[in-house]
Amino acid sequence: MNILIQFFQNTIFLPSTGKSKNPLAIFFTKQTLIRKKFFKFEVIALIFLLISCATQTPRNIPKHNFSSLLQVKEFTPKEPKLISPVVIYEPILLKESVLFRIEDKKEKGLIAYLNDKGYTVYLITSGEVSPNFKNHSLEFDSILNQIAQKHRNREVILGGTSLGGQAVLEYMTIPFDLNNYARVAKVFFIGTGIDYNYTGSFAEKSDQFGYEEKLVSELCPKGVKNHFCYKYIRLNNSLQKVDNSKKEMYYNRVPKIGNDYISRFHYSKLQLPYLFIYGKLDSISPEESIYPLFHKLRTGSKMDSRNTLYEASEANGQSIDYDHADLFLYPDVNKEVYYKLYRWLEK
Amino acid sequence: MSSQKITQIMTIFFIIFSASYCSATIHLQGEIHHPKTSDNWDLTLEHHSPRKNTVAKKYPVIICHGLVGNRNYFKIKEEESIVYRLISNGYDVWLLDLRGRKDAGTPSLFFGDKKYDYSFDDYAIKDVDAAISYVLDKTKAEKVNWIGHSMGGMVVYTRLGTFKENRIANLVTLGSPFSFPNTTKYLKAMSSNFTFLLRVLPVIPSANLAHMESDYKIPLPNTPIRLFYYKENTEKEVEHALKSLSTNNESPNVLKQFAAGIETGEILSLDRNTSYTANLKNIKVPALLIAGRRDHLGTPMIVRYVYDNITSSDKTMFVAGRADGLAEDYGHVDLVMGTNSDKDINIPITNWLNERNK
Repeated sequence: MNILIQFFQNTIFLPSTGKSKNPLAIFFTKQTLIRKKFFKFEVIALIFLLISCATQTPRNIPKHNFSSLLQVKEFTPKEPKLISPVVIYEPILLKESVLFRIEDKKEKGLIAYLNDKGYTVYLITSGEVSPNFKNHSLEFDSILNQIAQKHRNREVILGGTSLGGQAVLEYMTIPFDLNNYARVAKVFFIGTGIDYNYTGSFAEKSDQFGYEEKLVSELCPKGVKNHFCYKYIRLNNSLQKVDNSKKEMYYNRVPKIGNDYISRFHYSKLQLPYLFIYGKLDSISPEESIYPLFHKLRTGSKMDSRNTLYEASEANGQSIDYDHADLFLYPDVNKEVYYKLYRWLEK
Repeated sequence: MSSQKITQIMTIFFIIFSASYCSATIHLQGEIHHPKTSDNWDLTLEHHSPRKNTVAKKYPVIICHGLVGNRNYFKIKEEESIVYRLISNGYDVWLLDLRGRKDAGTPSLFFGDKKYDYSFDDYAIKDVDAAISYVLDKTKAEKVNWIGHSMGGMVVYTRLGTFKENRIANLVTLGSPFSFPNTTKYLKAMSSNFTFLLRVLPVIPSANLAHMESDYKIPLPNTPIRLFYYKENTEKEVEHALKSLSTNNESPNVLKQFAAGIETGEILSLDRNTSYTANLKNIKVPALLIAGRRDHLGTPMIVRYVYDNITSSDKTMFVAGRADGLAEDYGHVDLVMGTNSDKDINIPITNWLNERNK
C-alpha cells in the first residue's frame, strides 16, 4: 500500500520532493511544471484581456449626411489602403447586421472582411418599409459623387447585396449622360435577383401572395407550417442550431421587386466589369434570374474576362450548396465565397 | 485457422452480403417491342396500355431516358412512377430505350457491325425518328407527347429545332441542358477526364462502375455521384435499383459531344459544323420545362436559357424545390425517382398534359 501511495505521490501530487527515478513521475513532473508556467501566462493574459475589455469603447461608425433620403455609414479599416472605396446598398430582406457580424470574432461578415483587406466600406440604408429604388437612383448618384470626392476622386466599387442589390440595378438603368458614370469602377452582386420575367418566379409569387412591402415577421408566423420562411429560407446550414422562432430575427422586410432589369439596363453600363455570386439553393435570388444579364453582358461587352458568374455550391468545391442566408451567415462564407470577391476586386 | 478456411468464410459472407443487395426487381412490366432504325439498329419500346376505366387521351406518350441510363428508372417507383401515373390517367405509354441498351442487344467492344461507336446525332436523328414512327403506326395517332429526362429531352430539342420534327404535340423535359453557360469545377473536371478516357476506351463503362458500387459495395467517389442525384432525397432501395438496373454503358462519341458542349457552351453535331443550341428558336410546340433547384447538370439557369430561346407561345418553366411547396429541392435524377416525386413532379406533369390532350 505504501508503495502505491509513494508511487502516486511521486508521479502526480508531489513532483517537487526530490528527483524520482520513476519515468512516469518524471513525465508528470515536467507536465506539472509546464502547467504551472502556463498557468502564470494564462493569468497574465486574462488580466490583460479584462483590462482591454474594460477600456474598449464601442466601435464608432461615422454616419454621413450625404443625402436626406438615404443614410450612409462609413466602415474604415484599421490599415486603410489607397484603393477604391466599396459602396454597398443594404440587403433589405436581411437585416443589415448580417454584413458586419462583429459579435462573431472568427467570421466577421462581408463588411468586416473587406475592412480586413484594407477597403473602406460605405453602407447605404433607406430606412423605409418599402424603398422606392427609382426615386433613390438620383440620391444614390449624388452619394457616389460625394464619396468619390472624399477619396480624392477615386472611382468607387458598387456592391448589391440580397434584394437591396436591385437599388444598384435601378441605378444601372440611368442613361450615360450623367457625369457619374466615370465614378464607378466595378460592380458586384451577392445574392441579388435580377430578371424575374418567367413563369413561377419569386417576383410573380410575391405579387400573388401579397408578400411585397411586408415585414418578414408578418410572413413567417410562429407555429405555422409552409410560411414564407419555410419555403424560401432554409437556414439549414447557417443557422441549423438556432431555434426556429429566433431565425426570423435575421430577416427584415420584402421590398417591391423589379421584374425585368434586362430591357431597361442602360447599354453604357454594359462596359463595366461585373461579378455575380449566387447560391445554388437560393430561391429568392435564384441562378435563373441572374443568368440573362450575364448573358447580355457577355454578348454586349468586349470585356468578357472581367465579367464573372460564380456559383457557391458543392459542385464548385464548397462544403455546402449555399442558400440565400448562407451567402451572408454561413460560418465558412469568408474563405469559400468572399475570398472570390476579394480576388476579383484585386484584379 | 488456415488461410483456405478464412477465404471460404469470407466468400460465404460476400455472397450472402451481395445477394441481399442483388434483389432489385421491377414489377411494373409492359409489352416489349423492337423497332428498327434506318441504319438497322434495334431499339426497345415498352408499351403500357391505359388502365381500365380511364378516359383515353388524345396522344400517346413516349418517355425517353438520359445519358448512361435506360428506361427502367421511370418504373423503379412502381405505383408511384410516372408510368403508373400516366396510365392511370388514360395515357398510352411507350418507354423508349435508345440504341446500345442491352434489351435490344448489347453492342460489341471491338468486332461486329454493332459497336459503341454511335453518337448523340444518331440518337436524335435516327432513334427518335424510328420510335415516333413506330408508335404512330401502332396507335394510329397523329402525334405523340414526348417526356424526356436530361438527354431524353435534348434529343427532342435537336429534332424539333434542327430537323423540323412535326409529329410531337407536346413536350415535357426534366433537367435537360442545352447549353453550358457556367460550368462548375467538378463538371469541368469530369469533362477533362472524359476527354482523356475517350481517347483510350472503346466504351465508357458507366454501368460496370454503377454495378461495382451497388452489387459489390466498392464505393464510387461521392462528389460525382452528388452531381447526379441528391442522396437525401432518394430511398435506399430506389438508389440501389437505379445503379443495379438502370445504368448503361455509353458510347465515347456521345460523351465527346457532351465534352464539346462543356468546352464551347453549346450542343454541337459530332462534326461540330451545326450548333443544335442555336436552333432552339425553331421550337414552337407547347413545352413544360422542369428543373431541379439542386440539379447540377440540367440546372435552372440552363433551363431558363432554353425557356427564353424557344419560341413556343405556350411554355412553362417550373423549378422543383421547396419554394414551390415541394418536399425537397430536387437534384438531377431525383426529378424522376425522388422520395416524393410522384406528388411533386408526376402529378404536375400529368395535369399539364391533361390540359393539352382533351
